[in-house]
Amino acid sequence: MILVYDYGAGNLRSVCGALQRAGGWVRIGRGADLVRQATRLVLPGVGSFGAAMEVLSDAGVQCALQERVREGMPVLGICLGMQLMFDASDESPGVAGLGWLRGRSVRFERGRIPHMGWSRVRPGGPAPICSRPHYYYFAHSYYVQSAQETVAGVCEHEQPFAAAVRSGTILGVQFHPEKSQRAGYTLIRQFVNPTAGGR
Amino acid sequence: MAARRIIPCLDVQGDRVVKGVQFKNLQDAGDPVTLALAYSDQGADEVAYLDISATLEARRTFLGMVERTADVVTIPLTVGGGVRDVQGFRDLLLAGADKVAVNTAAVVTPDIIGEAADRFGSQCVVVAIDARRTEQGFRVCTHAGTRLTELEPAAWAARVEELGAGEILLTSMDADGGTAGYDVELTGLVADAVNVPVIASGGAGELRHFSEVLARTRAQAVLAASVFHYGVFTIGQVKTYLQEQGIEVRVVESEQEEG
Repeated sequence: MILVYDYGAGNLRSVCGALQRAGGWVRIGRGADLVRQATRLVLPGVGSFGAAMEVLSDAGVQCALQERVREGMPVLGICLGMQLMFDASDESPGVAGLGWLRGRSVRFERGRIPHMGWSRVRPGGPAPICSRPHYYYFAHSYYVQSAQETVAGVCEHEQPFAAAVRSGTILGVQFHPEKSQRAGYTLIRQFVNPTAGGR
Repeated sequence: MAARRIIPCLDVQGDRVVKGVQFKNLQDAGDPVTLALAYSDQGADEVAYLDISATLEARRTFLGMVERTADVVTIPLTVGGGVRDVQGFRDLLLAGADKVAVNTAAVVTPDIIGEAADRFGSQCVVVAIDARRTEQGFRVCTHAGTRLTELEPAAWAARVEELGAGEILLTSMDADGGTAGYDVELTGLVADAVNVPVIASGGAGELRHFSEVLARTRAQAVLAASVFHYGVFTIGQVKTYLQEQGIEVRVVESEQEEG
């Protein structure tokens, strides 16, 4: 069961639809029990850092999350979901993130903000998300400053930033794969079933 | 910087598309979901629905159609038209809209912008601004273009950005419904007054209109309806033309380009 975590804000329909089309059995919900039952977890890209962490920082949920992540449960963080996996975000000062990856989110200083639209992502790091550049859809004002070795894709918005990060079974993407047509769907399909062929 | 975006807009009443020219003379034509998919296949970067439903019943039908759209369309969906309060925002986002546009409600109760941005994130909040030329200069209109305000569009745009809007959809009421081109002057004024993305709307008739507004202003995206609905040209043709003019657009990937 793929758990799409519900922080209580915004459109979860699109990401659930995409996961289902890719062959996943999806549940929207929250709480330690569902986390333990899940075989994969999606942290969706809706809402704000502070509000989402308020929902996620319940002690029981934290415990279950740490346990499952340590056990190697695959996690996909989308947009805000990716940012939540780090230590903190300037969007919500003083609020701790999940801390699975070292780094924090900061606000863009140059260019139109939010960075909104289709931008080119090129492969990066030891385990890139794609073998050649693709356009994906972005809609964000904050980006992650993370360690080089976790970067899995690079994009530019007046400056380079991490479009994707990967560490073990944890994958984060700053863009919205459920809104990125074929390239996005390929990524979702690989998350749902990594053993399926690339086509 | 992101590629410039081409956004087809569908006027919808209930669950049917209507090809309108100026909010009058409505002609029924087609299923929005089918059209949205077709535009997505053609290379549209996003799709927009303008809800012109007049009754509560039609609004409910509209929400159901948004759900069906979100289930199958894999590009972002912006929905606007008659959104009055944060509940309206919430209903549309839960139905599957990625962005919700507010127009008159933003002028009447500006607090709605910040409230929606705080709850859902500013990237979900589009403020639509309709404006026309008057003897005193450009002025914002509300209520589907029927009421003129004292607001100057660039100043209003800056204000809504401050309040939390993530994007501005700017429609020239003078150009809208015609095919003489986007209002480059109005678009330039507004795009220079803010740092959020601005979508130009109203007046597209020829290919060069697209490059004009994108080359001469800092608009990030263009929205058009009739030219696409009447098949004057396809989104692919617009993108090819823009590429030839040196404007970056996303070219839709073929089957072979996965991975």
